[in-house]
Amino acid sequence: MALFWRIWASVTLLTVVVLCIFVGLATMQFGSIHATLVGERLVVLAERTLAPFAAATRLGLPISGVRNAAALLERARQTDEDIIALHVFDGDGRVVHSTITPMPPTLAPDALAARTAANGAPWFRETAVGFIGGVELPARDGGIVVVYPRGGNVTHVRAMLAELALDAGLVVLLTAGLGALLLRWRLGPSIHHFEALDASLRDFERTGWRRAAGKVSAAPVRLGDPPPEVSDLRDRLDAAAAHYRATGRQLATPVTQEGEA
Amino acid sequence: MTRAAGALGGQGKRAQLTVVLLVLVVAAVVGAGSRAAGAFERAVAPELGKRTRLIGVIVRAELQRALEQGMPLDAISGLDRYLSQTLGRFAEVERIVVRAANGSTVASAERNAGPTSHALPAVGSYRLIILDGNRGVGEIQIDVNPAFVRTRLREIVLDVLAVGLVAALVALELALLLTAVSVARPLERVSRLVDAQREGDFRDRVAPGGIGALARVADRLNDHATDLAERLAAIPAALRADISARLQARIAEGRPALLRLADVGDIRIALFAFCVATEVAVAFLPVYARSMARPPWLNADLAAAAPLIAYLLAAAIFTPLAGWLAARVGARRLFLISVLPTMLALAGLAGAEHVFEVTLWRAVMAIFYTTATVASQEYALRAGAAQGSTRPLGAFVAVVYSGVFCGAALGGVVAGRLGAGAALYGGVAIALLAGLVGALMMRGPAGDPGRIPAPVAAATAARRDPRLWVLVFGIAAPMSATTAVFVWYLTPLMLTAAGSGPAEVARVVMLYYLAAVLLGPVASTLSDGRTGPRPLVFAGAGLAALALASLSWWGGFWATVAAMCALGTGHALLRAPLYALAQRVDAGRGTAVGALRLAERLGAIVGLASCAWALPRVGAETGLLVLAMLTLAGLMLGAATLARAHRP
Repeated sequence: MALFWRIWASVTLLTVVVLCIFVGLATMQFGSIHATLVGERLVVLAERTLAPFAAATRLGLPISGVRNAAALLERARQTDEDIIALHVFDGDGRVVHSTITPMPPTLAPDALAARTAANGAPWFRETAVGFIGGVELPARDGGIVVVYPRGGNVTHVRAMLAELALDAGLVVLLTAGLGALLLRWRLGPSIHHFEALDASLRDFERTGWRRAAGKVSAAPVRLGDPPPEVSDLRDRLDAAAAHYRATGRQLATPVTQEGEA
Repeated sequence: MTRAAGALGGQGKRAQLTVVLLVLVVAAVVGAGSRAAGAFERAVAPELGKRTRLIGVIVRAELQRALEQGMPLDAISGLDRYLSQTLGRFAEVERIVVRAANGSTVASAERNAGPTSHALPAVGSYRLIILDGNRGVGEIQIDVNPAFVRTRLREIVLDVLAVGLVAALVALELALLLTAVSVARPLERVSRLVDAQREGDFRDRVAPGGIGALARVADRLNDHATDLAERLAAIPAALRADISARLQARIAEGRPALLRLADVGDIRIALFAFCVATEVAVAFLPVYARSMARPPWLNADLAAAAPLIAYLLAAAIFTPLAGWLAARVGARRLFLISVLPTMLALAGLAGAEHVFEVTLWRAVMAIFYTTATVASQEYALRAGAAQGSTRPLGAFVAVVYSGVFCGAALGGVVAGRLGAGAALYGGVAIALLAGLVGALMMRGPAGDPGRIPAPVAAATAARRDPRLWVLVFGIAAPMSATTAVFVWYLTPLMLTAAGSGPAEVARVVMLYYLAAVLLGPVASTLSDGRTGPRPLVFAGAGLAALALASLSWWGGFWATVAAMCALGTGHALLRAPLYALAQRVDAGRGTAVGALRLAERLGAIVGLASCAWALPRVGAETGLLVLAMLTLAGLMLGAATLARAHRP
């Protein structure tokens, strides 16, 4: 039985390890999915907010010259009270209009890197400050960036981690029970086999120390009806032990004789 | 494997324990995965709704701006066109309706719904009141497209499934390690030592370990050897030689040596972790390289492709050298030597700022990926030399593909959440783990320096054997070219053209590797059994040719998926038995494995280069048909050559 429970404990531990990996990866995956959805929403907002600026630049005005820019940005900001800031930037990444004061001189390095990588396509990125989503004017001579807090996402991810961990705990309990049944049903003969081997090995040990204490009943105790492989191993162990004793005696003899001489 | 170990810890029992472990772990992952999919659905629904509502808010703001100019709602010109444009931009919107205060429809736009879209129930609808000053003059109704929502949720479920698969593959490796470390290996060691001592050989000892009384018995048998050695050493030197000659036993002079046994399983975890580490970048490397600084003459597409080109070239150049190095310094040492530069390359990739740095570090990684994988393959081949030649290769292929699969999926997930740097530094940690596990597990004599094949004599003999040529150039090279052209190059292009996103493309490509992981061991078992390697090689090549040719008859997403599955199955049937067959043909000259490895690398490079040149001229369909014909020609040539050689 001890062997059965050891195997069961190992199997359960393995399940726990695998589920820990699964929960970790699934939580990260959820974080990515949620961040993507937030980012896509920011891009929608940025695209709609950019439209009047795009119309102005089509008329030949520089993006910094749009006169009601502050109102346009404020109107967009009011669609979600969580929005941290909206920045309109020119082709070099300099901020030309913003909902916050003082206005940052340029876009943050993360935003600039994401803009470069996107190569004109809408983009979003999760940074230490928050989510940033942006779109560019068709000629890449400016665009708009929306900055959104990460707090909500972090809370969602933590809630998901807690839910997945709880579910994983329940699954571990279920699979531990299933494991006990499955191990007994499917590996019963193998475990019995190994238990017979284990018992045979213990008996070999026992015989060894009893013999050392003077017990001379040489026939080893046969436990039940062990499988042939177990009997075979036991016979080989006995043969090995016998060879060891015989060799040991051979080694002891000359030394004793020399000592007596 | 000796009698007791064979009966109690042998393949059959080990397979049973592994199956039980896998059933349990897969059940756990499926259970947790289905709960996770439900939790994901519930958690993303509000965010999906927010976005749709935002679209409504924006449309309302536009309308209200017109109303502020004094224009009545039902007189806004081009409203239908504006709504249609908005609908066209946002796939999640099924219908937008603008109604007046009395409920009459002022304007509406509806997606051209297919039959499946109508069959799905509505999943959400938002109504927003339109204000003109202090009066409500109408409302906007936005209906969410049920097909879009279900597509997003299906993608989430598939993402969870991919994560679950990674966990299951990790579980498989851990399960195999657990069974090996706890039962099979200790029993094998004890059994070997017992047999030696029964025959009077007391010169060795074993590392004690294992569950139950195994560790104690190992201790006792070790003590037999140590005790006799100490007692012999205590005898005066003058008498010792005389006594040793008279003894019917062989005793160690000094401390008994540690009996070292090698098993194919020794490489599994180390190689798996190493492949995971090196492949974490695969999912995002082209995008990563494109985002780096680059010279003006290098366009973005070439910058994205540069690391892959450098990787393939470096791997092809170092493949022949790696086999020689494995024999020269030993597979174990070569594997361990490869770990540190790989860690450096991963860290270098994480810190890179220029596309040339990315390309350089990827090339460095390719060199040491090649040396590490070749070292593992040589170890497996030598460890499994007594067990027939397909199992080691089958295990090697399955482990490499499992690692590639897990590395790509893991890298994608971690990079998506924590950034490319986190994924690459994670790869550094996993590579370190691979090195530690390799140092612990690859201790068998298969890891020692070995016989270096005499290259000239062996190659000359091999050159005279047409069968080896046919296997190398007729079967292996087209197989590898097909993988590079169809799996790596054309499938992403074809699926993207058919409207699939990067995640969907990645999932389809993963089917190829999944087939190899699942069917590779089956192919090895069949190859070692009564079927033999030859029918498997021919069946695999035939299936691969059929899969490629099938794309001439039908196309689209599902055709590509079916072809990918068939190709993965064909190559899984073919790869390990091909090595076994080539080794038989090679008859111990030691050139077959090296030639096949080189042919695989060159096949990939030539295939990709030919494809890039020919694709604009002849198109993908013709290119795939040519590959199918080449595969079929190699198969027929192989069948004819091997049949002729077999004739008395």
